[in-house]
Amino acid sequence: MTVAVAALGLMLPALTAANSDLMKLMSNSDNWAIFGGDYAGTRYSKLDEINAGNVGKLQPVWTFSTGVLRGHEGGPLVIGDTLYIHTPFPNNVYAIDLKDQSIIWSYKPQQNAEETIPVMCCDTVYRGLGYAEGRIFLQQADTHLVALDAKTGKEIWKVRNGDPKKGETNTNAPLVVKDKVITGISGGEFGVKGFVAAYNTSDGKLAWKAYSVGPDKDLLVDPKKTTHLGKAIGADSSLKTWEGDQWQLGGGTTWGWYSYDPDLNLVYYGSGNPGTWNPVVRPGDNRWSMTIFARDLDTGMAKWVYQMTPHDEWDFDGVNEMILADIDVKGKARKVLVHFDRNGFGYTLDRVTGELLVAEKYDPAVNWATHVDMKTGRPQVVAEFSTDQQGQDVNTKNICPAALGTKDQQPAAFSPKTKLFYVPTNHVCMDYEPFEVEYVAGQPYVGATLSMFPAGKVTGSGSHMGNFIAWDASAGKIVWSLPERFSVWSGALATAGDVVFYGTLEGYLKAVDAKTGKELYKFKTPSGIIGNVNTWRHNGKQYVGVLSGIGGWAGIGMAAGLTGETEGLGAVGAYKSLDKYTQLGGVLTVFALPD
Amino acid sequence: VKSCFWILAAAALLPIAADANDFPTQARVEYVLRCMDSRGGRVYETLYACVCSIDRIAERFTYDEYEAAEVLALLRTTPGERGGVFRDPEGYEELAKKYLEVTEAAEKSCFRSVAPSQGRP
Repeated sequence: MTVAVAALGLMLPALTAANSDLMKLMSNSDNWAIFGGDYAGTRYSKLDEINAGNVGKLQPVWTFSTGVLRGHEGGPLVIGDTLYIHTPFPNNVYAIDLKDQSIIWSYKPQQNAEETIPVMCCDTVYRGLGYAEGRIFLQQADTHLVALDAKTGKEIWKVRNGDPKKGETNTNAPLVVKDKVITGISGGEFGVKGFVAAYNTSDGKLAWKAYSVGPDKDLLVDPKKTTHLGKAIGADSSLKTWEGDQWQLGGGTTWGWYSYDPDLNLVYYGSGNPGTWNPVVRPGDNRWSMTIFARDLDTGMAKWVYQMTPHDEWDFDGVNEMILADIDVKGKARKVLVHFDRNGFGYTLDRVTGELLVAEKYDPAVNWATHVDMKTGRPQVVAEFSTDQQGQDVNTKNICPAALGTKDQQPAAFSPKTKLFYVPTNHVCMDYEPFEVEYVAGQPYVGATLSMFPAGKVTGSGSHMGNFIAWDASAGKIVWSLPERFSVWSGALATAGDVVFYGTLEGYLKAVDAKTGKELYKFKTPSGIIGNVNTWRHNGKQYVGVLSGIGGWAGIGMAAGLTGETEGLGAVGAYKSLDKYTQLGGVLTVFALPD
Repeated sequence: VKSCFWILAAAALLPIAADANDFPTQARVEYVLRCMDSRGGRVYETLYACVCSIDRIAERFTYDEYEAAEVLALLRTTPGERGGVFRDPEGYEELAKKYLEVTEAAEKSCFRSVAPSQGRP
């Protein structure tokens, strides 16, 4: 007993310090210390030097070429004088001195490309780094989680979070809270069983691991205390909703974004699709795939869960960001969690209790369900668009949204000034035909053929594939909507200057008025944008930065000569060193107002 | 038969945005620099050929159409459902193909006429 108390006494100050270090950095708007801007994931900055009145004068001031091809997601972290930027596979990391944009250090992990890349379902993306107490946390594609010395780039520890041979990979940004690094796993298209894991920041030792599916002890739930819409989930809540041992290939991967409420000590995230995309062969609700989890940071124990899409029939992964905000709902001040799901519903939940407050379509095209029953939380599925009811080897047509969802991982922003959420969306529908598929470890386990097209083909409303919208999460209503030719795959940024930023697949960084959506500025960066827009202040001046770089290759013509991934690695000044960089390589473009 | 083919080919070429010629300077310079870098470096031979090439491309596309075609030509090779969005929709394949055809034809003809040997890396 005495020993335990003594140990606790020793541990507590360290915990508090670890917590407050990052909290302090996040509270200073000069930094962009975490992927979401803060633990709540608002992607909001208090900086207002760049505002609705002057953003039209914005200029690109410096660029950084990553030298790596393929899709560049996420964005830079800024801590004081240093900017940290990551690349897609092979997941290089650069620390850049903001005083002169020189490279302080780079870290280039060795990963087995043959083993890893083929089991990454959809491009070799990586969404960002974590930082706390002088350490950078890198989540490699091959699942290695690495702690680096933020000053030198030297490796401090490295642990393995999964196994690419089983189809397990990582694309998510790790979340650092207190003395733990939280990370998830990708591989829902390879029959991987999803989990979230907490590792000690000090030594990389596994603190806890909680699966999305399976027996209660693996789920880290208390059948009597963990709730689903206010009711205890009971024993074997997951096992009962799968046939036989199908839960073993249960998916529910956790490749999205994580947020945290320090007052409640809860971590929030969502789980992905349940194994094969053929719903006919996996009867039941397939719990807890497609679910929002609220877990205790210290123990991993789930406080509440909410399954948005029971028995998924469309690949509507529930992994999108969970934005924590304090807003009025129906005239009452609430601590809420707002989530824009792939299934096309914008959810507002009480993040303390998991009570469902609002669930409304954030694209009018959504047709697979009429509405969400607010008592049971279940979407009311329309038979015509149910790929299960239509059956195996039947092509179910004109389902909205498509599998990528009304929104994928690209994170929305929330402005406490306007109380609006700014959401990058897809406006795409699909035909979906499920077929029989056998599971083979490390092989795709999909079992559906899809065809996608603009939502306008179903609704008769034009041929655009995306919208950038402002959303009122109290009322569940769209406030304004800007049509975009292609889906908007970049993360948004809202600022106290009443400007909202996002990027387009053509490569434009756009700034719009937070209140009206009016376009105030656009600039074409070197490539399409699927990264997230971030902002920071250095030497009293506000900067806005965004990664461009999209997947794919044109195959012939001038692109054919541009395959040298190693050329121009880390070249500062994309234009200054054009001879050393490749057209399709990623570029961080940084903007500021003229002096 | 042969002359008939040429009339058809010319007719197919002519109506397409022939007069727009609206590519911004930034887009032209970026194209030319990248083209030079991928075609053997920054020498006058590649400069002339790449300038010729972007002029021909700009004759066949409005800039708006070119931007969309470039996105499609690149993203349609992304694996999985993310690429599917750029492969499946009506008209997308045609636009992506047009991008590849136009850029290839432009570079081919310009490099043949201006820089027969130095053009290739």
